[in-house]
Amino acid sequence: MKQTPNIDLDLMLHLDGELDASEEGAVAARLEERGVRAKAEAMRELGELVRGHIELVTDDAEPRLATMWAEVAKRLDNEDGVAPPARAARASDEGGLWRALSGWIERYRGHLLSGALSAGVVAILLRPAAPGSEDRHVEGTTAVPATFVSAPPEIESLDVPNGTGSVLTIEDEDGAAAIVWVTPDDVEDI
Amino acid sequence: MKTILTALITGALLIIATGPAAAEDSVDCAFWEIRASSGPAEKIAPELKPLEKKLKRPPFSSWNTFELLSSTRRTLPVLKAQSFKLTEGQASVLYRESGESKKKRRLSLSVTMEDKDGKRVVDMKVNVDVGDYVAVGRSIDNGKNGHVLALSCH
Repeated sequence: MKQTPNIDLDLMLHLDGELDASEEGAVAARLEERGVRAKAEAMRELGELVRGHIELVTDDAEPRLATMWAEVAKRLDNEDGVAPPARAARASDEGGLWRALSGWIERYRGHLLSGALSAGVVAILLRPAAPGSEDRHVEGTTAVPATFVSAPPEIESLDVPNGTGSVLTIEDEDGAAAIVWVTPDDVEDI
Repeated sequence: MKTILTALITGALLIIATGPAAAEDSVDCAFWEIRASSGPAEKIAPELKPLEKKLKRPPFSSWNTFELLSSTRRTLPVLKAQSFKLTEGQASVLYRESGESKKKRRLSLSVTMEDKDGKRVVDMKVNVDVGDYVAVGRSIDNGKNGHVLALSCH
């Protein structure tokens, strides 16, 4: 095993069972170190957590994906059966392509499905970190608007220097409206 | 390992694809300055027809006459504040960014309004779907009448 300055990669490979015997020995020696052992434990727990989550999602989605796949397979079969005469000249080429494509999909169906599911999980896990998804805080003297099926206007911050502001949300068939009603501190000043 | 790589790449693509839309360059907004008062009979300026239903509900239902003092349409470039005179003061609006709501483009705006003496009435940031409305209202004339600035963007 190459002596890498960072043990993390070796630990990951070790946990995935992807090291050969000599490399395993080297990593096993490093595992005697307290910090490395703790890191390996943490990586193992994290891996189990992610794998468990993916398994749950996969189990949930399996019936739906099976139905979808059956539908795709049916359509691919139909596509071969009802090719219009105008396309007959290209049929041999297209048939070859289609066959190659469907053969490839058939061969790697498991990988594709697992990949797509895992991608979904990754996307869900990473989504809160995407830009623009941070929580927004309403400041000032606002009333928090009620939750609607459509997104009503939302007052993000409100500053009423010479009075107080009340926020109302009105929804009707002409659209939603956020109303900020300002009541001055001193009505006589108006 | 291939599956994990596929997952990571597809995940990254999904994140990019489902990420917030880039801010549009500009947005068109309409502004209506309204005086609300009480009269012998209900009267709403024809230009305020789109707001009619809302003007019949609190806090506007204290009045039955709604007169259009001024109106303007502006194209707001992103992050360039635009000010305009009102009959009863002045206002400025800044289009900060836009993103995607559940169905519509959602705009983030900053709105300030000053009274005719130059005193700040309100300074707020609001997130609103295109086609929806934002209104700032206050009492004027010792509480006898109301003054409202409403806006809607497309």
